Amino acid sequence: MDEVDRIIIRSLREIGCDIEEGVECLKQFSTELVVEAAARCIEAIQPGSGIPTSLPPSMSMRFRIGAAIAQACTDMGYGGEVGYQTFLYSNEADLRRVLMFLIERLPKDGQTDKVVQEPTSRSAKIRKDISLTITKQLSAPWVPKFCRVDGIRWHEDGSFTKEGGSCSPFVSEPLQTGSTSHGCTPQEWREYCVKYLPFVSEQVSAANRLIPSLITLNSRGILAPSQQHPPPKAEELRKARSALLKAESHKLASQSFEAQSSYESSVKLSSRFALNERLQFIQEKSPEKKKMVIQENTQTESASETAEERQKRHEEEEELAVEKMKCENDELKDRIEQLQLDMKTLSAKLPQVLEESDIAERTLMDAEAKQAVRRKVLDLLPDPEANIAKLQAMIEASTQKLVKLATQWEEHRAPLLQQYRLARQLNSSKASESARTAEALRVTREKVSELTEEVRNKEQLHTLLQAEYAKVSKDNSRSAYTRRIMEIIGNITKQKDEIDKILKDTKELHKEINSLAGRLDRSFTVADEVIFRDAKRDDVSRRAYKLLATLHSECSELVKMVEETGANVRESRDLEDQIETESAKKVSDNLERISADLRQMKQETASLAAQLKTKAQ
Amino acid sequence: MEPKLSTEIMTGLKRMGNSTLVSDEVFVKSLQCGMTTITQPDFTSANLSSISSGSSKGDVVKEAHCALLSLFVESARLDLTLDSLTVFLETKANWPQTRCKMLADAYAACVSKVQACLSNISVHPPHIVDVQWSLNHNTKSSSNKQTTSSFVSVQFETEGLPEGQEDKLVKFECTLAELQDMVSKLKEALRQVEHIAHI
Repeated sequence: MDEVDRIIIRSLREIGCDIEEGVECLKQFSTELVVEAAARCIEAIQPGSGIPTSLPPSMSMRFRIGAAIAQACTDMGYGGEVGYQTFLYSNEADLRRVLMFLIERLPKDGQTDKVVQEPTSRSAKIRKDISLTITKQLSAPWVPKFCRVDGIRWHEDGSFTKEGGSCSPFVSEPLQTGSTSHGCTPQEWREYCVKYLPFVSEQVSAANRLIPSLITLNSRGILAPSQQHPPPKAEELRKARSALLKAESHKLASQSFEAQSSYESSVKLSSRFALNERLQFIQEKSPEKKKMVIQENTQTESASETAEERQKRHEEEEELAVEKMKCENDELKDRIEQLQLDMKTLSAKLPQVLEESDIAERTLMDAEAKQAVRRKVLDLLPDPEANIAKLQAMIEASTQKLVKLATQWEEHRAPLLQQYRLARQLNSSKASESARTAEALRVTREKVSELTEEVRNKEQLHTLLQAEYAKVSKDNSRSAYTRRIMEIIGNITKQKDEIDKILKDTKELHKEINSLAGRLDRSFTVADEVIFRDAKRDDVSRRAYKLLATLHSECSELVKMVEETGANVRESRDLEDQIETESAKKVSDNLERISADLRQMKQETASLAAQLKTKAQ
Repeated sequence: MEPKLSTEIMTGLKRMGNSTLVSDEVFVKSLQCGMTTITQPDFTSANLSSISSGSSKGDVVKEAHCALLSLFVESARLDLTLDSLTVFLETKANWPQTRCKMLADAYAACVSKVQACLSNISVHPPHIVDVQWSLNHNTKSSSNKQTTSSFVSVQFETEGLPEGQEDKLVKFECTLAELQDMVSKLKEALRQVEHIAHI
């Protein structure tokens, strides 16, 4: 039993029980230690059970804790008898059974490792995520292909798993983000960005290339900021712009032509679309017309012409009509081409003409200004002296006014300048202060991130070391256990051999006894017969027969008594064992403790009743 | 953990957080358009032009749009938490708290979809969805060789081939021993997968 106790104590120490070094068997366990051990075991098996590991002074609370532990054991499937008394007034054998049951249910090595590794490094987290995903995939039922769009299966918790389905390769395209610092002038670049640069999501040729293109753009920016793709040159920009302009003008022209054609069908047709429409219309209409013509002809000339002539004429007419339409068609096509050409030349000329008109307007304005000045000068010419005097007076007045204004300006300027200087000084000091604060903040942030990183590393190391420590100690104990188990098995084999030997001896003795008893019976019967035969004739023989009978009966009594003695000895041994087991239960001690606890509880009840009374009064 | 973004994209992000360059209205619009663009493969450009039309700074809006999409993609790649994303935007891009919160909400709503889109960009081996098999016995043949041989015809139905290729059948024939070997290998693989699942 010592070995079992040692294993139990070692296991309890592993789960964090504070057992002193001197304690080597369960007999030495105090009530507090028993409760702590049981509570810790239950906490390790079912985290969050909430059973306190230390006993409170109040007796009622102690009983409640004992009952809670017993209940937890029963819930876990403990088959034996268990109650609060098992823990509060423990007897060694019951306690050993309960603790062995609990220790067997403690989480095994793999499970404890998992718990230890949970909050560790990124790789562990990824491994955990992988295992979770695979578990989810394994536990999910099969669904048909149409329930998984692109092979993505959405789970209830918002996560997804990829199961088959088509996938696209990583194909990226160069993207133009619109950031500045390019070859052309900033104005040009800005104008291009504002008006013509499409959004990045519109720059890709297929939607599934957007994400790869974004990833490539970012990676390229991070890896080689200097080796970015060359920015578009000003010329390219101009080309793109002219192309866009052309497209826009085409669009506008076609729109206007469409409107025109629909508005007035009699006016010359100008757009391809409208032409097509008209052609279709003519084609649809012509058979009807022809029919009508034929009908008329047949009605008027049916009498004079034969059927063949009519057929010929009809064919000729048709051919003529087709040729006419072809000519018309060709003419219209030519006209369209001509118009398109005109449109191109005109649209190319348009910006130039606009520019020219701008220049002309500007020159016109300049000329007008000059003309106004000249007119004024001409007005002054008739009376030159008076006018010159007037002008000089005006000039003098204006110079005096200027001087006055300059002095006034100086007056106002000096204090304002001073104020401005002061403000600038203040501003610069503030700016420097804010820069200093920002610098300090940045340094602190860096420090914080460094420290966080360090703490994380240390924690990781700590958990790793803990896991290693746990593994190492467990390995040791495992080998020790194995050794002990092998020793115990050896002892048991030896004991079994001894027992077998004893059993063999006992069997032999039984056999001997049986044969001796048989021999005795037979000799007695023979002696009895011989002496009985002689006893009828001889007195001596008669006496001998009587003596033989008494000898036999007394001997059998003796044997019976010996057997009874043996049985009594066995019974006394059994009784001694029973006494020992009863004494091991420490009934008297427990009785004393129970009576002491009862007294304490009575006292507590009385004090509570007294408190109740005082409150009631 | 924080996303690694190029200086070009960081500039775009900083401009997006600046309320003088990008007004609140334009910010909300571009956020919504960004979410739709990145999550729906069949997006339309009509919404995009409406963002820039509301602002006089079309170039900034376009730059911000690009930066936003890149941020979504990079954050989803790293599976960033909302807290770390908010901290990143507040400290590195100098975003105000309200905008950070709005972006975090948008990110929370679309992160799984972006990750789903990301998972579609790869080259997976075809996915076996069905199997048909038959055990055949060769009882007679024109050659003088062994005539009583048995073989198994197996036909896997697969899906998930690269774009442009139809889902096809993978057919092969093998002897019983080879089939047993394959089945045992498959079982081994299954055990391995189960082992990984219960780490």
